[in-house]
Amino acid sequence: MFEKRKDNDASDRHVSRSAPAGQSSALGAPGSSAAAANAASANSAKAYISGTIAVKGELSGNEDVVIAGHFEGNINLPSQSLTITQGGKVRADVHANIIEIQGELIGDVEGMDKVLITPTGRMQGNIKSPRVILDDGAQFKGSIDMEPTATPKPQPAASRAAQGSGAPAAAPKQAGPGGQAGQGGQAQRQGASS
Amino acid sequence: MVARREQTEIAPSTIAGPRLQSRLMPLLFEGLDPERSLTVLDIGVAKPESVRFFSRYRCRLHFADLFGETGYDSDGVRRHGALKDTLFERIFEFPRNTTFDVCLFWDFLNYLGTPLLRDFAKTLRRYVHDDTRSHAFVPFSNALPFVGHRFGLESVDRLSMREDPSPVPHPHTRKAIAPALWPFSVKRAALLGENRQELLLEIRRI
Repeated sequence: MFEKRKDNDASDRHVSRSAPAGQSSALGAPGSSAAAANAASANSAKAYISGTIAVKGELSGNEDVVIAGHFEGNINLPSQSLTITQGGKVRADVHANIIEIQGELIGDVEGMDKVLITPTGRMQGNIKSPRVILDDGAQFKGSIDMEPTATPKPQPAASRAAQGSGAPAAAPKQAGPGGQAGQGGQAQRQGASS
Repeated sequence: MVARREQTEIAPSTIAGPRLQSRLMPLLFEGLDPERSLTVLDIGVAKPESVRFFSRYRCRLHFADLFGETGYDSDGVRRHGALKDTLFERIFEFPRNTTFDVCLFWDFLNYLGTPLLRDFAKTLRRYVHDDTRSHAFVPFSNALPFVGHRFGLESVDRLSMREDPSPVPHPHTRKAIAPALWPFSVKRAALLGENRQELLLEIRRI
């Protein structure tokens, strides 16, 4: 069911191939007697669900996980990363440290560190994370709950010249004497109403 | 495996295209308690620059791609037939007790005929409070062309723009739209270029 990723470093270990679908499948070294060593290497280990594999159930563990196939259920990797590669499809509520969506995800996600949706990523659901990044082209439908570490006061762009993106801003046109809106290039209105 | 992109969310936008300088958008955020979490409604698909902007604040963003729900896809192309006047009664599914502090309508109001506009405002009434502030664009004159755009918020007064290739179906002038928007009321208006006017809306229950 789960495959060892070929390009992993030496710390990668074979992951369980015996966990039946629909049941919890802790991804880790089978029968490992060196729990401490496993824990030490867990940060760099990855478990991989390849593109031809479909899994239903609960997924949890102490390794980063890459899903290129289909997964349906729940994913709980509070200290690890989850990557859904392009072509990967996940329908699950996800709790992970870092979540990167290059494929498709339907469900609610909580990223302890951050959630990233890349240009090929598609997500529908609610995100809760201190940092959420949408790349250009990413598609997202739902809500985002963000709690940053600091809350700066909003400042007009004009006061932050150093942050200019290079694209010239289209300044509003100035009010002309009795000028017709939008015509003549110098018309502007601003005032209270009703 | 997961690329580290530290600080990407506050890096300058790489979105191509023109920008619009807003005069009224800063008023949406003026006087808001920075310690209090904001709840924001953004009508349309999520824009990277908007997420980037709001990522600096404590907030909950709700993106509602109502262009799609009303039969227009993200390019403004009509996909299906007549709409019922109670559309928003059926499609608004915000969590219970959600009340928006800020509503960003962008050009969306100009994609609704008057009956749907009334339904939209009336239904949204449940999700606003007395201090809710909203922002919308309308044409200044229906005698002039009004080109629809999709907007993103780059800074408190600077918007990214993506042109909608399809005609805007129901451009409403400020005068025409006001009666249909209750409880939203136009507090201030500012004329921008190219027949575009921005409106700052407040809640008036009476």
